[in-house]
Order: sequence, then structure tokens, then C-alpha cells
Amino acid sequence: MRFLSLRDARRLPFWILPLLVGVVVMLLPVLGAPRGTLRMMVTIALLSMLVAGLNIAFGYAGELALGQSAIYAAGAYFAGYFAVQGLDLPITLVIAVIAAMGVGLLTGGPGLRLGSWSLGMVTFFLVLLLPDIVALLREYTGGSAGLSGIPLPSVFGTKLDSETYYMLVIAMTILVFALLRNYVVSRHGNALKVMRESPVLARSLGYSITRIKLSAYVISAMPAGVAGTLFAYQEGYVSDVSFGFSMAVAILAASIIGGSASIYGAAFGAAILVIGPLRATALQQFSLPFFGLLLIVGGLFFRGGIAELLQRFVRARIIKDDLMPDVERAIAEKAELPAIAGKPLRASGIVKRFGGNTALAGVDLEATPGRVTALIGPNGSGKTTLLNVIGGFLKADEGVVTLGDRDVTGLAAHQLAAAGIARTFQTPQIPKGLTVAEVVQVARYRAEPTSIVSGMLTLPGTRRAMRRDREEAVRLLSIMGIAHLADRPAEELPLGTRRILEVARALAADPAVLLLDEPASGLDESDVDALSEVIRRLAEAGATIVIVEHNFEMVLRIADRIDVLHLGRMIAGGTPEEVRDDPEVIESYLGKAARERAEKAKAESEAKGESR
Amino acid sequence: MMTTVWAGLSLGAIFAIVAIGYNIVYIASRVFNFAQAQFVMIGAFIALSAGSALDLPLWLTIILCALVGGLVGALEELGAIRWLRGRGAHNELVTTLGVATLLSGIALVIFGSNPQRLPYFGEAPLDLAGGRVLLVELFIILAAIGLAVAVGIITKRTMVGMASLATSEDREAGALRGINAGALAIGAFVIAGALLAAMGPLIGAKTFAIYNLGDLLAVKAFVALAIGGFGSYAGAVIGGFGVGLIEVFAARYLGSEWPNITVFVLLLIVLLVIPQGIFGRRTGRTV
Amino acid sequence: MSEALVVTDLVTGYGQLKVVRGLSLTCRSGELTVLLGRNGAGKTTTLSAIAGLLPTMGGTVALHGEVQTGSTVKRVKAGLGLVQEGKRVFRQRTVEENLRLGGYVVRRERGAIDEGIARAYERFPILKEKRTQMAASLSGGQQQMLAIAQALMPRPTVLMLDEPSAGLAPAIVEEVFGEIAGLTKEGLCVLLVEQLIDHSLAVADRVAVLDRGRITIDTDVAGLGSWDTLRESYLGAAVTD
Repeated sequence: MRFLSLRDARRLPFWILPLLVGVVVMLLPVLGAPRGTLRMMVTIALLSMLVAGLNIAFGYAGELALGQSAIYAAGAYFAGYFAVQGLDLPITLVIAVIAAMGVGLLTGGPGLRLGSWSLGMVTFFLVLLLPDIVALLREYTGGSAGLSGIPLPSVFGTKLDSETYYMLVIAMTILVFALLRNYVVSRHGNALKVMRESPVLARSLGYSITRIKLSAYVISAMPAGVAGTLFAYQEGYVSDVSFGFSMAVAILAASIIGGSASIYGAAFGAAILVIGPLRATALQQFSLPFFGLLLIVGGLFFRGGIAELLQRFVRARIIKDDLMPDVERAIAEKAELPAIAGKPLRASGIVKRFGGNTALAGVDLEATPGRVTALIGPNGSGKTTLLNVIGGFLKADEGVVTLGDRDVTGLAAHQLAAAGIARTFQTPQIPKGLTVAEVVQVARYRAEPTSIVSGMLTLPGTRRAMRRDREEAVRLLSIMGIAHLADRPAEELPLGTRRILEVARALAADPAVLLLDEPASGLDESDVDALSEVIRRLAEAGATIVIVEHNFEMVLRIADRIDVLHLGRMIAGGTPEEVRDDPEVIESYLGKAARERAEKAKAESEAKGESR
Repeated sequence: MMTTVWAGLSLGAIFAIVAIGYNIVYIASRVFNFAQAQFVMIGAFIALSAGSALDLPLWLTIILCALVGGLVGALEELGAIRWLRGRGAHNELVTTLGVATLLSGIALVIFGSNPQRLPYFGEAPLDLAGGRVLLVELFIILAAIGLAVAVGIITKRTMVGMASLATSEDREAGALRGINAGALAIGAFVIAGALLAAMGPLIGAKTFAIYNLGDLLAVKAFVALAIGGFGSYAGAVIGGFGVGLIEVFAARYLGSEWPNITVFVLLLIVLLVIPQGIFGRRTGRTV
Repeated sequence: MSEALVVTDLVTGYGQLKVVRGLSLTCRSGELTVLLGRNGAGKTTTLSAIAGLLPTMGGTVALHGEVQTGSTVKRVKAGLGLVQEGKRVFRQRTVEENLRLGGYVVRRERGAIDEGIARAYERFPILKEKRTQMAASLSGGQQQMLAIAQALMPRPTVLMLDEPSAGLAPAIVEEVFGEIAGLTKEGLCVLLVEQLIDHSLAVADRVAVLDRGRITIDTDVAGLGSWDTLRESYLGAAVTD
């Protein structure tokens, strides 16, 4: 197969291919396909919408919300009921989708407080509950007899024949997929990935996890509502028999086979499930054990399903050596680091206890713009605890933290991020599935918010924001000297480069304060040098930098001020020279005898100096 | 009214027994085994076949059930769990759900979808404390309490039990003390499987043998643990009885569509208000 | 004195990251070897790899002449003990339960556990006082003592300790180091990883320094000479002397 260059690959709208497939499927009746095939296509289309919904919640947001079949039922019953009442298709569709989203919100709400297991169980329970709910509301649902008498679909007064209805079903499926695909490819999709892979990073970037999760649940319910409506009209009859344990398991199995973290994967999975086991009626009774086996094997081995296999196949065909034009330009132009508006940070009297252990016993720290303030100390001294308090991941028991002239004591991580505190992590938080540029872009998610609707419809606002995201990212990467890696998968980077990438990401949020957590840990000499240079440049540009580090040499080189923490107390603070010769510091690192020797040597040299 | 209480206790005892099974596996391997309730179904069907086809006495059937249950448990751990070390809780829910579906599906294929009556235990109710209860229901209640006490003591007092608790707290530290977490995990699956399958003949006598016996049982036993606290045997029993009583009283006073819904609402309330359960501890719960 | 622990050209790390790149070290029974190095040098990684908690990507680890390729549990049964950093006892269990669990591998030997517990209480009387208390309620120093006593339960022949002084007040450090020093007299081979040069040198027979994944100094204490070299390795440029 021919090889593509990265530039060409990026220019090709890959979505043309699925669109073509969709259009061909839609035109099948015109092409003379038999009834049986059309029925099968409808089944695949409906199932694929359900799976796509599950993929948003499960594959992208990482939440095991298994209630798709219950939401499907809600959509079907609502649409069916109002159709029986005489309302037209467009209106019943809207009602059903709103109802579905409502159910999605209701079942997702508790999901905010529950761990993944509990959410899975709660949503699963809901599915098993369906017969009882249907029986309870039998006036509307027809109880176990089912809701019958759903008229033929009519749009604006015109009744649709089965062929036209078929095309409507496929058209709606294409539309739903388009909207979901836009959503996933937009900034919101990246935000979901960040949240799924690293909630810690998400919080430090200012994401409101609550809002993102809730919107994911609501969006994941939308396709189920559409599918429910279309199902109701297709069958003319809705009963709870179609929406139980079997359906829920089938949806999950299809998701895993096709690839849970993929929208197109939903279609693959649905197609395989429908065309495969469910064809021969003789094999119908084996469908349940078959699904079970699929789940077991899928859960064990299928990391990304078919979608991932295809992606890898395609990626292998793209030569990655060339660079996108904007990257080339950025490298040629050599952007300069602009002035950074650092703010002073002050922490006073910080006390933090963990049970019987006092990790911080009244600690003060002051960091000024344009200077590097280093925090050092032996293991167990409380450095990381202090950094976590300043960063909002821990709440201090006592003490005050101010940023500029604003009291930020007790604010949570995402609130502090909004206030301008950016941090890097000792283990770089690089979410899977993002390119180097995208890792930097996600930091701008909150800085320039765009609505989900705008994302789904790729409105100008979203397109502008995405363009600016990219410009900023490329610029910062070029300042850091790693622009040539912009379109590589971030996971490929070695540790030293990941640390620099984290700094670039921290800068993208336009930070008032930069907290660096052991950035040199595990790096070799040349990487440490590169990193040191970057940090000094940032300080010179006006940033307020607080760095926690063990690498004494590096700290001596780059710090303007060093604070030494030992057993929860600041035992020394001052310029590098002062700290290095401080007897308390020597003792805390090397022990008493070392301190005595150093003091003795100092006294001797002073005596010598005097006697000259 | 006492009859309703007995009904609630005996139903709750079933939940408690499954919850005990959940605990045994969870404590030793940190896995929540969605398929645990299916072992009761397996036991019930073995009792059906063994009882009618082979005409075995009850005690022999129970032993047979235990053996099969243990074997299936080992197969589950080896085939569906062991490979997943460290891949995250999601995958374990998917694979154990897969095992549950597989077992349930096999039962459907072999035995069809009609509920079937077991050959052991009569239908004559006893009069006890002002209410009527079947002999088998009494046995189930006693078994639940007895198992909880026995397993609880074994877990807290024996070296193996303590080792399970330790390994679920800190697997690496456990390895350094010579505790083989993998062996404990298989052992737990085998024991839980054997125990629950052995209870199949009794439980099935009350609920009838049917392929989807395990579905609602699985979620309700989960509710029992949510109330009582994951990892607690006292919690399993108290939570189980609680769920059982609430269910039958809801059926009696609210109507036949309400029992499951009531338990669901109860689950939501418990998970949102006291997530660690009555006896649970805040630390170290993956669920 | 026999060579109890021989590490040859060890290569290990995390995934792509090779932290230890060809480390060789020999420790003998009845001898205390101190492994010094600053943070990030790879000390914990080395101990973890010797104990089998991390995969060995190159080189070998031999215990009493036998090369160890098996699991951590097997190495513990072969006589290896490790006291991890961070006082990793079982916090939800009582002091006595922790000691019992320490003796898990010898649980079937008659009286082994009871004798072991008696020895532990003799060594650290405070543990006897707190025997029924949850380990989580102990102070840092007491937890460290429990961790050491726990590791000693199965009578290991090689004991490794990872920064036992971390986060402990100076007086407690003295007490703990006193006990550690006494272990060699009982015939153990002790490998002590530390940041505190001072205390370590006071109890050490041999010193090795780990720098960027390799051993740069390996000598007995007597031959250490000026220990400004050590100080340089920690604090950078030499202090005016």
C-alpha cells in the first residue's frame, strides 16, 4: 500500500470514507436490496447508536454507565406514547431525546459520587428494574402487554412509506455519528481523555470534573433517545421484553469488539454482533453464552478493539518525518518568550496533620516574580505535602496562602488553576492518545471555553478557539525547543522531554505561579542542563517559580532563594551560598558529626584569616 | 405480619450468603466478582439433575455441588481474572459480567427458561413465633448466620485469613512477608464458589431453579454489602436481612411492582449518604 | 565470612526508564554494608530489584551462591528480608498481628512464631506495650521498629533496610540504628540504604556509593579516607575546609 506523508494525511478528511459508506447504505433500497437486508441494516444502525452512546460514557469519559438499554427503552416509550397521541415524528423525536437525556442525567448524577464499580452496578440494576417501572406506569406503557398502535411515521403531515422511513433511519444515524464525532474530535474530546487518564491533571488544569462528567452522561444518552424513537416506529409496538439483560450485555460486547474509545468502532461492533451470531435462528439460543464469551475475551485481550487495529494499520502507513507547515514556520521564526505576569505567592503558618503525624508544623514560604524559589529537604521532610497544599490538592489545617493580594487559602485545585497556579508533576501526567501539541492545547480548555453544542456543530467559535489552541501550542513548543515533535504521540517521548513538555503545558495556562515538582528526578546530566536553562529563562521573563528538588547541584545553580524543610519545619532559608554553608542544613543531610566538622573548619579558617 | 418478617429474613439470608461470597473473594483478591451469584444457580440446577435423575440423597448432592462450584470458581479465576492483574477495575467488571452471562446462558441452553421445582424439602410450613415459615427457609437463615460467623472467625483468627486481609491492604508488603497473593486469590474463588454452590439445593428449593436466578440476586447482594460495608461479614448478614425485609414489606404494603424499585432507591441513598457502609472502613475501597 | 548476597551487573528500572545500569555489590554474613547516594540515584530501585519486586533486565542476584530468578515470595523463603521505606506495615492490623504475619513463611514450624514474637518484644519493648493496638495508631518511630521486627520474624539471613531514618526524630534514629548495628553480631548480612551519612558510617563495615545507576565507591570504612568526597556527592561543590 502506498505511503502517505503526514501533511497529506492531515489534509485528507478521513470522515469522507464513513460518510460514503453511510450514503451507500442509505441508498440500498434504490439499489434493489432485499427486505431482509434492509431490516438487518436498521438493526445495525440502531445498535450502533446505542453503542456510540456507551462509548462516550465508557470509552471516552471512563465511566462504566451501563444503563443504555434503559435509556433506549425510555426513548422508545416516550416516542411511542406521543405518537399514539397523534404527534408527528419530529416532535416525538425531540420529546424522546429530551426524556432520554433526562434519564441519562438522573442515572449519571449519582455517578459523580460513586466509584466505577458502584456506577456500573447502579446502572445495571436500573436495566433489571425496567419491567417493574413499566408495570408501575402501565397507564402510559401498556404494562406487560406493551404499547401498541403506534402509527406509521409521519413528518409534517406526510406519511412515510417503509423505504423512505428506512432512509430516514440511516440518515439520522449518520447525523448522530457526525455530531458525536465532532464532539469527540473537538476540545471536549481531549478534555474527556485528560479526565479519564489523569483526574489529577484535569483538576490542576482547572477542569470542573463535575460538569464534564455530567455533560458526558447527557450526551451519551442522546443517541439512545434517537434510537428508541426510530425503534418504536419501526416495530409499531414497544414492550419491555426487548430491553433487558441480554440487550445490555450485547451493547457492552459490541462496544468492546469495535473499540470502546472510538465512535466509528461502535458501528463496527454493532455490525459484527448483528451479522455474526444473531443471523442463524438456530443459533439464537446460544446468543447469551456467546455474548458472555465475547465479554470475557474482549475484557481480557481487546484493548482498543477493531478501531484501534485499523488506526494502527493506517498510522503505520504514514511517514512521520515531515512537519506540518505551521510547525516549520514556528521553528524558522524562533519565537521569543514573552513577558510572563508572575504574581507573588505567600504561605504562612501552614500546619498539616495526618492522624498522629504532623507533616508540616507551621511553615512559611515566599516566592516572588522573576525569581526561582527552591524548596529542599531530606525524605520525609514534608516538601511534597507543602506543594500539594499550595496546589490545592490538600487542605491545610492551619495557615494562610495568598496569591498576589488575593487570599486563596483552602481553594481546591481546579479553583487555584483558574486563579493562575500551574504545576508539573514528578511523574509526568501525559494522557494516552494525545499528540505533543494536544498535550499543551488542553491547558487552554478553561482559558477559552467553548460550548458543547458549538463543538458538535463545529461552529466558527469552536474553529477559532481550536486554531488559537494550535497556534499557542506550537509557539510554546518552539520556545521550549521541541516544536519538531508537535505532531508525535506524546507517549513516545523520553522522560527528559516529557518534563519539558509539562513545563510548556503549564505555560499555556498563562500562569501567575509555576510549581515544579522534582522536575530533574531521574534525568541525566544533559537533560538537567536543558531543563535548568528553561527554568532560568522563565524566571527572567517574569515568572514566579517554586521548585521542589533533590538535585542539590541543580538547585545551587538556578535558585535565587533556597528554603530548607526538615521534619515539617523550615530550618534554613536564604541564598544558595548561605544555605550550603548553614550548619543546620549540613546536619539534616549528613548528620551531626558532619556539622561539627564543618563548624570546626569554618572556625579554623576564620582564625587563620584573622591572624594574617 | 410475622410471616412477612420470616419471608424477609429468609429472602435476606439468600442475599447475605451471596454477599459472604463476594466478601471472601474481595478480601483475598480485591476483585468484585459479578458472577458470584451464578454459583447458587449452578448448585440449584445440579440439585435438580442429581436429585431427579440420579436420585442422590441431599447430603451427597450438597457435596457434589460444592465440588463443581469450587472447580468452576477456580476456572473463573484462572481464565477470566488472573490475566487482568493491574489493568483496572473496569476490565474485571466486564470479564466477571461475561462469566455471569456465560454461566446463565449455558443454563438457559441446557434447561430452558421455565422455572423448575427442586425435589428436596417439603412444602409444609411451620408455625414459629407467630408466623409461618418453611423448614428450608429456616435452614437458609441459620446457614447465613452460621457461615458469616464461621468465615468471619476464620478470616480474623487464622493465618490464611489474616494474610488475605493483609494482602488486600498492601499486596507488595504482603509479598515481602511471603504471602502468595495469587494462591490466596484462587483459594478464595474456589471456596466462595463451593460454598455458594453448596447452598444451591437449599436456596433453589425456595426460589426454584431458573437460568436468570443470579441476575437480580447479584445486584441485591451488592446492595446488602453497600449497606453493611464491603469486607464485613457482620455487615453482609445485617445488610442482607435489611434488604430482604425492605423488599418483602414493600411488596406487601406498596404493591408487586415496588419491591425492586424500593431496593434500588435504598441503594442510591446508601451509596450517596454512607458510601462505606455501616461496618466498612473509609480507606482502601476500590468499589 | 561467606558471601551472602552477590549482585552482578544489575540492570533494572521502570518500563523504558533504566535507573540502575550495571550495579555490582557483594555483602557478607556478619557484615553491615551501607549503600549511600542521593535521591534519584536508584537505591530503592536496587533493593526492589534484589527482592524481586521489579524485573531484572540484566545481571544476576545471588543469595548464598544460588542465583535468584523467582518471585519475591520465593526469595523471602530463601532467607531474604526487606524493610521498605515508608514504614510499610499493615496499618489496619494490630501490632501483634503484624508480627504474626511477618512470620508467615515459617507459620508451620512449631513455636517459630511465638519465639519470634518474644524476640521482637525483647528487642523493642514498646511493641509489647502496644501489642493489641492498630499499627496505624503508632508513632512514626514505633512503626519503623515494628517494620524491622516484622522483617526479622522469619529469621532472614540477609536483611535490607531502605532509609529507616526517614522522617524520624534524632533520638529515635539513635535507638533504631543501635538495633540495626547489633544485627550483624547475630550473623546477619545487612544492607542498609541511607541518606544520613553520619549515622550510617558509625555502624558500617563497608560503604558503597550509588551515583547515577552505578557504584562509584566501594570500600571498607577504614579505607574511606577524607569523606569530603562523599559530601561533594551530596551537596555539590566542596565547602571551604
